[in-house]
Amino acid sequence: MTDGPAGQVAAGQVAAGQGSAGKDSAGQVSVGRVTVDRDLCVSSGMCESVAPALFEIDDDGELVVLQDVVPDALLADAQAAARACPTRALTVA
Amino acid sequence: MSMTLPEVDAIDLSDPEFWALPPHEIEAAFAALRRHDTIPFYAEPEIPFLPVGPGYYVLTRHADVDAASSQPALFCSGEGAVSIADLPEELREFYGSLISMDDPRHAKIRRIVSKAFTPRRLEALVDSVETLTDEILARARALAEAGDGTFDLVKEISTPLPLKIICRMMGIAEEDHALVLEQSNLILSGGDPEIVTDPEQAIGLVLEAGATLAGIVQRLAEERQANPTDDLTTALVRTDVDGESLTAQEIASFFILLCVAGNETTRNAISQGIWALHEHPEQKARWLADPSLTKTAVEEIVRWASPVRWMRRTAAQDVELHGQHFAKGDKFLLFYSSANRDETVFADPQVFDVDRSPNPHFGFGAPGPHFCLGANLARREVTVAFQKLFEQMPDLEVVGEPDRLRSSFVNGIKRLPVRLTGRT
Repeated sequence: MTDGPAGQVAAGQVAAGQGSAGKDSAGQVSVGRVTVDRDLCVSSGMCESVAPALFEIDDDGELVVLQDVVPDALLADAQAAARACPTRALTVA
Repeated sequence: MSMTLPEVDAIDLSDPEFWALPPHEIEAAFAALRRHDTIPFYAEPEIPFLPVGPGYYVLTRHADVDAASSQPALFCSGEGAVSIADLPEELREFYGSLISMDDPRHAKIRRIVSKAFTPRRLEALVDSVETLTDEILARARALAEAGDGTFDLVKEISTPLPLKIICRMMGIAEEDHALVLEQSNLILSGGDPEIVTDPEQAIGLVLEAGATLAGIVQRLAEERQANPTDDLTTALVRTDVDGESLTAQEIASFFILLCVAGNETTRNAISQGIWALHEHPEQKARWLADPSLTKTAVEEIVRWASPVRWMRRTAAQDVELHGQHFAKGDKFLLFYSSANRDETVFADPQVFDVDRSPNPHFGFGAPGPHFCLGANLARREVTVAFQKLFEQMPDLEVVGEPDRLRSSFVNGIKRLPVRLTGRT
């Protein structure tokens, strides 16, 4: 549970805004996959307040990802949740 | 909005008089500091009975505040987050809660207390926030109507709302609420001469206030050990992480943190928000005409108010920031209030805009493990406060200037005279 070396946080930061919603050039429906860096997560619940269908802080204070493969309709919510995360612990890719 | 910027050399953030300047002059000083490439350094203000430390650097740009905040291994909190001076051991005891703590201990305690602040727990609180707000507004209206229609918004509305919610969450008895308020005011007075009349006594008074609050919660914690209820105090005394539970001391420190962080911040967001809407009637009209703006309006109030202006970090090793080198032990104040008006991040930052989007403000702190634990609760409180005020006091008007707290740390309003006109 120790903090990572310098730079580790910055790497997470870039990932947040990268996923792309909608269809790619081949007409395929793109999907996002949510990953949580458990060393960074402090269970602030910001993700749940933005995307309650995807995230929940359980009664033990642990973040539960309800659907780690994000349906297309929720991709924008997942990305908003990643941006809202104060510790940049969420990646949607 | 253009403003005349002062010379950087003429700005002294350690001068208490600086914090008595009108807000536009304080904003102009920070605008000048943001444009100045070198990170400024200040001598520490003198506090009676404390040794004067080596001085501190001030981060004013959004990017610099972000960089320090999001690298807790380099910029630590354990040397103190809420005081420029290193606090003596006896003060750390009361004020050394998780805000001034580093991981892994911080993460462990934060996980325990965050259980009480999850979105679902807060959903369950909503009814009580609404009922409390109704009661508070009804009492204020009765008071106004019994007199000449005027009252102090801070005393009658902004103050009781967050205070009573935090006290109820903790399970503090109603008769102790006034005492909790008085002691938390003292702790956060920042030496404002109205609250601390004799600066020589400041440290002693703050110590006593901490001991009083600790006493209240320690008695309560013992009661809850024996007779658990569904309040936060019960959760704190009964919870354990990896077989370890919070000590009585840790519970007391956390309670002090909650009293202080959970009261003054939301109080000042509400007061500053009412003042901002008074100064920008066109924004108030916009919001009233379109309730779907509530979400962005509440965020803008938090950005605009920046109720906590700064937190401190200390270099845990030699570091580089904004191309400058710093030594292990150097102190930094991360000015959220300045980051929130950074021209390179916010379009027209000196404009109050209830529809501002995006709004990546640091009003709840910058990214990192210390991000405000109560952010969701505060958003809820401010939202309910304004919705209810619009609904139940459409005739409320501000009738005088705010009386501001002279503090670098808290952007406080001590009094704001308002009147109910009886007209809508």
